[in-house]
Amino acid sequence: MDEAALIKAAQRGDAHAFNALVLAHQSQAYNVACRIMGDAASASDATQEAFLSAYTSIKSFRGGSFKSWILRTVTNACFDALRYRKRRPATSLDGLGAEDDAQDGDFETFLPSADESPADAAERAELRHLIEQAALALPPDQRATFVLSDVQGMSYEEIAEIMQTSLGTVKSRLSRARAKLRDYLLSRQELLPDEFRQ
Amino acid sequence: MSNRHSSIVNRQSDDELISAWLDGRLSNAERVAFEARLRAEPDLKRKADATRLLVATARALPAQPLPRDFTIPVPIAGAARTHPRPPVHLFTWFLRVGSALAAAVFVIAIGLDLAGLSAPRAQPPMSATQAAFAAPPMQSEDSIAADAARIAPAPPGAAAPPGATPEAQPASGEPPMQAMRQGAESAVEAQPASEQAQPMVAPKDAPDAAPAAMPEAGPMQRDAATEQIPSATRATQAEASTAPQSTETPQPPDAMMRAGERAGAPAAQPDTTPWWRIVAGVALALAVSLGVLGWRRS
Repeated sequence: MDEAALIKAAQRGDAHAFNALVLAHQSQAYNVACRIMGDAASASDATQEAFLSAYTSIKSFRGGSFKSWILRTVTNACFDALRYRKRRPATSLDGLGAEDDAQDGDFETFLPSADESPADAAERAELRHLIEQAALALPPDQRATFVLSDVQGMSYEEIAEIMQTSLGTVKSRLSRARAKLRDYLLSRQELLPDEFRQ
Repeated sequence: MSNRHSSIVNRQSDDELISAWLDGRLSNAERVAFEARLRAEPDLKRKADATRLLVATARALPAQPLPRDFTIPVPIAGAARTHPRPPVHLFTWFLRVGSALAAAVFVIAIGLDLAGLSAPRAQPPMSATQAAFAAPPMQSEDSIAADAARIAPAPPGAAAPPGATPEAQPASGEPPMQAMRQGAESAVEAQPASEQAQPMVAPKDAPDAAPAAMPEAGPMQRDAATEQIPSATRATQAEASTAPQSTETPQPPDAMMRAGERAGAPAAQPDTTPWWRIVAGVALALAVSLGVLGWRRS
């Protein structure tokens, strides 16, 4: 069954059809939430909240890109969770040991490819970790734009549709986010390739 | 300051150019010009290279594995579909309907008020107490004037305008009239501004209507008038020799009273609020309170 038929069936109340749509988009939705929220537990909660919200309001979907619509729901759920977290800051016990778990689960990313040395591979992994941590320090709107563009590889038009803003705003947010992250990286020259060290 | 501002603007402009160049969003002319700048400006080239490294690294970030399945269990989905929102309690409906009804009553009452029910009403009849309060000074002053006329009968041929009242008659008898007018004016000022007060001001320029203002005269006027009685008596005595016929036209006390009743301005009458304004106030308070209660419950 194609996506349009699944959407129509879900709008008629078919939960199985909606779950088929969830299965098609849950990986990308969770990854977006994970990069915006910064931890797996919050990202999982935001993703589940977004899919429940999408199910109850799928009748309001008026066509267009379903992926953009579902990712808009996810980013809104993440922004709500970030606002709630800002109002009531708390330390989550779920984060304890998360670094080890991430390294365990992400172990393959530390393996060097055939064309790089183990030292280069370790440096590359450290650089990724640095970018992930630095991205969490960005304002939420710039962070979401950076994640959708540079991590998920979406176009300016898709990002504008997801975030319900103009193309100019998307360009501005993206250039600011990249500039901040780049300046942060340049301040950590020991992690950069040789050509960036002065 | 302007140098710093232009530096920030140039920096933002360079960042946007770098970003657009990396994403292939520059036109051919813009791209050629920017790449020429990159060759000429090492600092700009270093920033562009670092941004390119950042984007490449971000795009190579590994996807996070799903911690679980996010499909919705069918029973939960059915519950979410059949009960999208909680039912509104009956009492909340009562509050909403009551607020709407009270608001409608308020609008109707205000409409009645604006439709002319608050237009000038007929003068209420003077009460017995007011009549009794207003009558004595007229009688006493009249009797005083009559007594003065009896004490000193005026010689015939006195120059007095026919029909002049005893109060207005003394040619040099301005003091008693002035005192009465001042008293009347002070009574007018003491009253709330209303249409009933208008007839009291008019007699100032119309001596013929002077008695009309007398019933409204308060205690101050009576005091001022009685204080002027000796001089009035003296003036009347002085005039009596020249105006004997003036005593022939004093108005009887009952006529003065009727004139006072015609002018009837109950200065001390309580100001009664129309019933529809009370209804409007109560309805407004009900509408607001019930509306707030209904809103908070919902």
